[in-house]
Amino acid sequence: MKYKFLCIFALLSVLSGAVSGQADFFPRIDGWNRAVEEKVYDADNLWDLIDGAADLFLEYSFINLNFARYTDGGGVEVRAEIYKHKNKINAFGIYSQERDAAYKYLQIGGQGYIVQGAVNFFAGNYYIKLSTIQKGEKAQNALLTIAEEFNKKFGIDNDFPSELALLPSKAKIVYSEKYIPQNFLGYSFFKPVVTARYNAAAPFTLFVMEAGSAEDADKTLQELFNAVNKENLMQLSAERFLIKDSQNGLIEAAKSGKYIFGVIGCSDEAERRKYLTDVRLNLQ
Amino acid sequence: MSGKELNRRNFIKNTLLSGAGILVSSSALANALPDKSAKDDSLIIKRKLGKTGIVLPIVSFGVMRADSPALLKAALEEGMVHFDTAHGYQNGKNEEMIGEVFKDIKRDSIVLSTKVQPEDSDRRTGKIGPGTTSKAFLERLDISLKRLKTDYVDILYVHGLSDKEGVLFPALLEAVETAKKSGRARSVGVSTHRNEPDVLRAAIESRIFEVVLTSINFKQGHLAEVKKAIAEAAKEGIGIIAMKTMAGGFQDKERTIPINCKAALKFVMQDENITTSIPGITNFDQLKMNASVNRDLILTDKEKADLVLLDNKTGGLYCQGCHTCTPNCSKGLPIPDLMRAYMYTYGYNDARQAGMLINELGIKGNPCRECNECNVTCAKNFPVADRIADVIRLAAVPSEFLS
Repeated sequence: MKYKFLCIFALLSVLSGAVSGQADFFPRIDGWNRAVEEKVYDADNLWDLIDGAADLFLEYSFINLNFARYTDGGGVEVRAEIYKHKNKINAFGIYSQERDAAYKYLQIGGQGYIVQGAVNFFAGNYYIKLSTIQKGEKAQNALLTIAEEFNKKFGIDNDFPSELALLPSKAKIVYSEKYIPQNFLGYSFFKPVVTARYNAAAPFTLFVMEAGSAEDADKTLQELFNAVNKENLMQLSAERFLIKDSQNGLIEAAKSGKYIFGVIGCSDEAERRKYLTDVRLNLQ
Repeated sequence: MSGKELNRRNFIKNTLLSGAGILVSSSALANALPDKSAKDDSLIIKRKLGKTGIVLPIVSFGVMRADSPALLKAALEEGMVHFDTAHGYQNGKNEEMIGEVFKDIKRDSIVLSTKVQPEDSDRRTGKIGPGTTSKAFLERLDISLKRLKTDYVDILYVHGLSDKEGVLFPALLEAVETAKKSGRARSVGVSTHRNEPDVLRAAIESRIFEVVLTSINFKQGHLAEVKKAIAEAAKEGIGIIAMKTMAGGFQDKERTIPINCKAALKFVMQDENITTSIPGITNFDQLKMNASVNRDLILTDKEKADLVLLDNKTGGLYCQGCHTCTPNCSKGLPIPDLMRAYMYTYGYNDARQAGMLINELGIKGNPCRECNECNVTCAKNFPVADRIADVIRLAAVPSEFLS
């Protein structure tokens, strides 16, 4: 027994330098034991922890992941994962890929929700995931308790990413905003895009892309034109284009400076024009 | 040649420099003739998936994102039929998108696979916990089927196993057998990206699993061992599907320098024991590139050169034991042995073996700490001092705490 204790002491001594840094991330919570994983996962080894799901996190400028477990001595264990991303829009982006309008939303961080066995939220450039395999009210309450403590620590910057303000709010479907860092609509030439679903006269999707410059925006538009046959392309005005994309449906795209924005899947021209005008106003 | 001598570098050399044609079947060569028609399915190279009765093109579709349904439809037009997802991807959004896209097409015209993670598993180690039950696993499968809008999946994997105990975990064996008997899974398998050889051999031993989805790529430190185990499994009728074939897709951590993904994919698929691969596809360019491999598996001279260059640049994990380093080390350290310990740790995920080796060498503490400057040069450009500092810590950890 004494030997085992010494071994544990030696192990902890070796690892203490590394662990103390990580521990700062994880709040101490009354009534809960905290075990902080010494290993910090980065882009090279995220696969070790979350398998194939890692690829998507890497698209969202993932920096590192810290991991800890909380146990209450009464049979509940909560796993805490703190994903650090390059900035807020990327943290929101990966969060938005996993949320659903049907979830129960909480006043936590920038936004968060609770489902059976998990609380997920983003705050600043962190995406925080708390989970338990235990079921029932006790486990769900435990998640809420721990989430609240994490919120105290991380929920300082609770604003939504400013990029989302470019999306018109009227008739926007709640919780449908997304940030897509690359390959929007399957096109590699699309730069980062914010997008949302709308339910006006009929449902459609709206997107806004910020290219690096007005020249880059022109280039991106040209690549979009190249991706479709000429007969499927119509110039409506100097900066408005109608595209029948065989892959993604009807797109009306517009340009303003370094921005490209558009409406996808809306056959009502007046509706398209109205929303594109709203985006243009938001850009000013 | 002994098993130990069958290292990754030898495999790459054998494949790239001794003539890829030797390793490519005559049927594959015949199918690799110039592309007469992108729509002509007869030109697509297909292989049998073990004893499952499923036949697949050598390149399939790893569904990574839930926001590009158009890509899935385009993949069908390119002749891809197999789509791979997982219960946990994007909280189920990935499966939901697949279900929505394919809801109206003939079910037997596509091959769907999903991976279900055991409820109580330590994702850091892959160890299965006692809280894992057949019932919970099947409940997750039922949720996946609902999302996919189908009554069955063609391949059901137990997700992310990394050792024999996990593969032979009774509740999981019971679950997959039940899934198959009830018609919810046409075939069953395991997925692994750690200790792959052990998992492959355990799958053989199980006499239940029919498919193994394994990571394999040209950068893998233990590539030779993985291929050896794959050959054993294939001989026993297990269908092999490859993942992580592009080794992350980039040369650098910052993901700014892409590797030649097509070459990396072709390299893996030279092995006829592997039925298909599931590279993640997120845009039409990738789709076209991957689909082209379905019709042309022969590595071009440039692709071969790119792979050799990448292998030299990244160095990998395998120390070739050339001893270029040892004369320059002022401490006279057994550097090749220490590099081997590093490979055990990060290539094989076997910290216990690494710790034992370091203790056998009798090294205490970090011997490099006392040197202001490291004069060691490595033929493979390993950061020798960094790797020693990293791995030497294991010497202080009792073996019962290492795995």
